[in-house]
Amino acid sequence: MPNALLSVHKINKTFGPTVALRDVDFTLMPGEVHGLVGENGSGKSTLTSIIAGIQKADSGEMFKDGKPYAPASVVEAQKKAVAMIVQEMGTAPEITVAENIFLGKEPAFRKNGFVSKKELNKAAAAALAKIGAHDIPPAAPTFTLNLEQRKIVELAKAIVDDPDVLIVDETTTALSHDGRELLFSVIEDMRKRKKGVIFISHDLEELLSVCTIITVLRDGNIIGTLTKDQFDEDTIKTMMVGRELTGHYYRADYDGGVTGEVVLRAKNVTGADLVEDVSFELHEGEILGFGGLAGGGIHELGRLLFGIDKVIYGSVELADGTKITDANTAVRSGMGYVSKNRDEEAIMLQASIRNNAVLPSLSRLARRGMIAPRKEKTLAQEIIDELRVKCQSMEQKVCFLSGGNKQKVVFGKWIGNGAKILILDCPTRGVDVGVKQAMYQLMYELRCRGNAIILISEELPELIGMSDRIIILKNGKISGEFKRSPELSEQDIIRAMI
Amino acid sequence: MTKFKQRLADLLPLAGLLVVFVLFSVLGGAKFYSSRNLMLIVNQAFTVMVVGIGVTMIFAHGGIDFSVGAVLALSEMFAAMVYKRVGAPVVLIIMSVLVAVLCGLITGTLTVKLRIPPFISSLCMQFACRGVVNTVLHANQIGVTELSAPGWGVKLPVLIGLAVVVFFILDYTKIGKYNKAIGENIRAARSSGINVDKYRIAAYLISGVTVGIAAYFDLLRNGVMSTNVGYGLEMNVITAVVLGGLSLSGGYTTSIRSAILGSLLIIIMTNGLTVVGVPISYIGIIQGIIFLLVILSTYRRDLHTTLLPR
Repeated sequence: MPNALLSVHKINKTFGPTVALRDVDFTLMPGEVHGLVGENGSGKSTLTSIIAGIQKADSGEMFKDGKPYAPASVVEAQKKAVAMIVQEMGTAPEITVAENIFLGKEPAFRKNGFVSKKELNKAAAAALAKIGAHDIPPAAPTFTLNLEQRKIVELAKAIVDDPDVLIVDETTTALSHDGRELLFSVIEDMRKRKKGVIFISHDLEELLSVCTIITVLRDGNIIGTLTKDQFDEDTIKTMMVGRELTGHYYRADYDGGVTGEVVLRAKNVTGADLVEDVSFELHEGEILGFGGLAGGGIHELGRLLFGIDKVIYGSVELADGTKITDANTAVRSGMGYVSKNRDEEAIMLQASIRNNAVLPSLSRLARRGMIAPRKEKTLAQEIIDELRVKCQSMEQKVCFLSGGNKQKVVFGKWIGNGAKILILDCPTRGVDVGVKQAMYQLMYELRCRGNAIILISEELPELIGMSDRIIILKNGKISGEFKRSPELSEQDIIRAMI
Repeated sequence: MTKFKQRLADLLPLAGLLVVFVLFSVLGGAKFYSSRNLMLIVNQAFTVMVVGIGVTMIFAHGGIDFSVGAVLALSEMFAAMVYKRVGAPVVLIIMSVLVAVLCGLITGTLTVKLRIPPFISSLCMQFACRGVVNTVLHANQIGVTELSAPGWGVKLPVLIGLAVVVFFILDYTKIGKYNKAIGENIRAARSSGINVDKYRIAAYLISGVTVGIAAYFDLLRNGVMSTNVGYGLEMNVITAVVLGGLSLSGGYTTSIRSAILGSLLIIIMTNGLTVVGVPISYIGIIQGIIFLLVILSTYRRDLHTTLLPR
């Protein structure tokens, strides 16, 4: 292909029995912002990680500027001017911002045999200023930065050598409005200078506004490529899922009168950081939404309610008077918690679906501390069937599942244990539309069966669409409460947030 | 990894055992496979196996214990001293188990409650126990030669019994399953409602019981208690379980098979080297190299596990 910045030809990649990419062809032209969309496990990240040199393809060829391109490592890809910002954390926490930005390039700052910190910091400050991140001190240890700032450091690091190709993989989930604007201006600048950007996001709206062209992947195959004039949200969704998405995405009813008994009472809950003096009541058959800006304290509140972090003042009490002081008490009292950090906190990646799914239920299944394998298998199968987890068998390791199916296993842990109170922290984060819809339906069914759900979310449409009541936190304190209503708009809520 | 490859990897320790046995049979000849030498091997392996079976519980949750050799010595010493006062042989087993469990409780509590890394807390325990033994004994010995050592008619059932019990605990009880879950991901275990502290300490207690039992048999076999009892046992145990295929990070792959096969492997290797005339001082070096190679190979196996990016 002439003048293509980067082209990929007949790439194949398998992970054990799973085919991640099948004969994939992909072309990036100069001045393109090329969006990649697809459900979890469709192959987006596999494709970009091969291009960025993180892993190798099983077969196929790649060309950059018309010349064969086969990076053996990330460093080699960077030398050929291909840089990537990954979904996971890509900075080392113990070293400074400047050292992260110029990681592996320290010799350039050598003076009398020592790396000059001064020069390094100066160059880092310039690199950060160039992308408009003036508030990040280059000499600060990276762990002192928040999640968003660390992502911006990664962005600075990725473009410090002015790459021809920049890959942005699901980065915007960690960014606030300002951070996104910063990223978008970097992308816009690259587009103007006839460089190329590959952009991955689950947020279709964002993709449509940022990209100049979009390629849809499904099950490791390219389904199609759409140019700007063909952009349409419904077309893309249908291409992604391979079927028409019917029915309502969110629940349709507005009878949200909360009448059930109080099942959980938070009194002046105050945590070590952020959350301050939060009081509310959660009722049977209620979905109570919690929203707020990043840093508003909603995630911290979830951890306090479930007893993972200690409440330093105030209390979390259940209907029978049980005080939640630790996660052990919470689980024994019929609570469940879906963490925002799934892989780190909610799941054992190297363990089987069975071992993951039954973990909270073992206490219940045990007779005098002993567990019959038959009971365990029956429960695991029930969970897999009820949530329709796409897997080969219950003995399959969870790390071989796609993000959406992993999340189903996490949900399954609590549903299998019959949890009556569920705390869901960003339950649909990084999950594709198909699974998202299934999650919403499940939440609604659970609510109708009389369970109580606390839904913590950064997505306003989700909160408005699913909650009976929404409480907004601002700087750790309650700053507003909204009842479910068809008239409720994002603007009303945003006013309480800022 | 395909199922076939997994099976092959599982067979590796057993194959290694065979290779080592055949190798030294050829090199050492009659000196190696004489009944006297073979008895020596199984007697030496007995202690490593019994301790290894118990310590597997600690390995399951990703912990490590460097104190077992010193704890063994301390248990033997207290058991022998109390026996000399009381005169009833039954206090030997009671005291040795009691002391070892107490030491396990202390190491476990230091590790779990004070959040000291297990290799540090167990090293402290090692120094403390050795210190007490050296202070009390000086260069003296305590003899219990009047008691006859139990033969394999007793030892074999004890060994099999322990193996079965710990196997059952690992695979069919909350203690075992929780410890393995903690080894996989301690944060996920905690947020699944597991009382992580309690079950980690439980692993140290179970390990303590087996160290105590090993101490009882070791004392009776030697007939005397001196300061050099149990030296190097911890390294033998750790090398054994790793040679047997155990992952040092713990988790659901933990099994007592590693302790049993690995113990035989390491003991046959050291014994065989001695028989073919390698000086003791070199054997230490060889053991160190083997330990490094084994750690390296398990580490590399982790590196090669390919994961879906999400």
